[in-house]
Amino acid sequence: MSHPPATVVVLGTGSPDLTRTCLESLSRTRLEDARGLVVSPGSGAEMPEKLRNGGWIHASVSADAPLAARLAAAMESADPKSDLVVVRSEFEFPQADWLERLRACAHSAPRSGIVGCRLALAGGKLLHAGTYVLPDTYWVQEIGHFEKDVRQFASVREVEGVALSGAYIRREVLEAIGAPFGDFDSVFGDAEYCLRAREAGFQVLCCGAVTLLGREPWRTAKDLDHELRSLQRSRHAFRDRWHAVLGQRYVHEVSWHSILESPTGYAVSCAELLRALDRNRVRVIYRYAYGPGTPGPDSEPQETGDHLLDVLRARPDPPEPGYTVSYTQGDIFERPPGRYRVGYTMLEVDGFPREWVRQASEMDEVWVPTEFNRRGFLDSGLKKPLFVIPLGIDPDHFHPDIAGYPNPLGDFVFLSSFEWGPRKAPDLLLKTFNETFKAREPVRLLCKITNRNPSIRIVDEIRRFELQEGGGRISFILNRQFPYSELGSLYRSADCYVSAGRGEGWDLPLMEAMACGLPAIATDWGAHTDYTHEGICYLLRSRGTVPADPTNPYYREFRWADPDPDHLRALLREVYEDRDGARRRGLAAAAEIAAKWTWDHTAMRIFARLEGE
Amino acid sequence: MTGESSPAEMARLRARIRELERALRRKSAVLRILERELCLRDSILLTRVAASGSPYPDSDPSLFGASDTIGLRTSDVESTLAQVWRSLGTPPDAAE
Repeated sequence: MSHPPATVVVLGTGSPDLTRTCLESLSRTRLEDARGLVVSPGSGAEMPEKLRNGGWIHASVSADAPLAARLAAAMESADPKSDLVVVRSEFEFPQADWLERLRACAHSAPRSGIVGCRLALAGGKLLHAGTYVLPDTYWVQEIGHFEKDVRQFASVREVEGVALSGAYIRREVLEAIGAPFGDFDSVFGDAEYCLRAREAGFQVLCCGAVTLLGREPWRTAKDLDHELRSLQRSRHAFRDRWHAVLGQRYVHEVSWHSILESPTGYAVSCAELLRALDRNRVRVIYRYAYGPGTPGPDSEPQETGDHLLDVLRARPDPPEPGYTVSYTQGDIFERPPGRYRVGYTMLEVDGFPREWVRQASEMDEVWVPTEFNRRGFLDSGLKKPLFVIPLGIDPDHFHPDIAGYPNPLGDFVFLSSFEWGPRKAPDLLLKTFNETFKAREPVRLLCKITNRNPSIRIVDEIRRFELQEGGGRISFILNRQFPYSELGSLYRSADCYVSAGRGEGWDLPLMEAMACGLPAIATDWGAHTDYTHEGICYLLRSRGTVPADPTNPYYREFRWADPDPDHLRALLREVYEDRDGARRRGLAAAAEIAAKWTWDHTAMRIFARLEGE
Repeated sequence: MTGESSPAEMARLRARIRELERALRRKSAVLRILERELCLRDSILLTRVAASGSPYPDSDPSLFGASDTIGLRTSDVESTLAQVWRSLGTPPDAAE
């Protein structure tokens, strides 16, 4: 399919050396039929011969000319029928086919108008993969800013804004709203142009298949001060111009009571839920749900450096408590006030404690993530409206192309990540693995273990298992907390994920590993039964159910699974022997999880409940 | 020991201090290199041998280097895995 020609405009915004490096990098890529224009102060001596011979031309501007003037100078020589590719000279082009990829992305849908790239630093950090602006602060926020670059955000995503540092603009956009930059010589100019394009009905996309590499800008304190003052001026003008539009960002409002600052599944999932709700037009006011007299810590920090979450927790309470969701244990549902109250919870056993049912009965409705928990509440006598709102994964950080750091010795690596305790049945996993394999076989179990119970000494516990030196070898990562944005790399460094516990309320690590394309072995009981099946997972049979750990007050009276060690042994061996089959099952899992089980799916279900559907 | 040392004794002591300082600098430089270059497993082995202990703390190599603490330590996935893989040593003979 033929696309219109493109004009590549390089704006020499840095030093001549930077512009030269950018142009040399550009000259090593496939520029197809693109016409090229370089706008920079001086004579243009930094243009490589290859580009000059290819018909690229140089336009000189004064060193203090704003971006709009620079672009206008270039546009005088541009083909008015061509698409426009804007490049700022701080970036280099590591991919030879960057332009083909951007162009294909820009013409993949009729309404796609502006396509930006992933921007990264040469040192291995992501600069960003799109932008957004909250109507609380009017700062342009960069998505993925300064995360370690592990090939996250690799797909094509619709975003609010992109940096016009390497962006493809279709001519239809130019015809509809004119050339970019306008009044703001900063990120606000990029944000405004993208907002105008969206208002005109075009999509703004971030093409994850293209990454441009930049250098961290070196600034003096004086530069920084000047820049911040200039940004503040732009921000105020941007706010005055766009507050009415950005004020319409949300359709619904929810007071969300939960926990964010804790190394628990609730906290991790809460953060992801809040991000997804914000993307899906739900204005969330976050409040810490626990405190004195509850099973949680007394308080949590008010600022964490995560802009979105900090804004959500700083929002004032509404004048009248409205729609309130407690995403917590069921025994603190009744704490927050609300005109319409929802309790959203989960548990790892086949029923719910009486106090949870009592408090759930005070709610207007109750949400659980699984059919397994819905049955548990019904069996425990709950009579209130009960909805299944599944949890999910972030497909931008958990997908099969995330970078891994595999074992250089070539051992096949089974990975399991869990908090130490009877629910996760570490004895079953470690002993069975140790018995299934021999030490001389190139296979290893890597256990990432968290233990926050001071009465447990992991080393002593494992010694009690009497693992055999000649049996399957096991390695441990003990009490390490990895940045959530890098966790996909842990999964991608293994060959199979194992979740052979007795009961799960959801099991985020299993779903994340499956989303990364790992074949997985999972107990066929509890929450797993809601999203696993033989086509995408190796289901570990249970011999039935047994009484759950009576030392946990929430589990008393209830039961959980009794996973079959013989079947676990057979599954471990099957995955190890039939690697092609396992790989196929892992990739099928990744496709299904991405298609059905993301946080956006969760947020859309919540949105539907807020609409009364 | 007398309250006052002779000039010759003072000179000898000063020379001795200089010698010990040079030895300490050499040793520190070696330790810095070892710390930089050795994997966790070898560092522990070296420490144990230097302290006249057995090079192997127990017969269960799978627990090697696991420190029992309930504190969570923030780490980077890449460097943690590099440390784990380095600690595994040479691969076993799969053909055996």
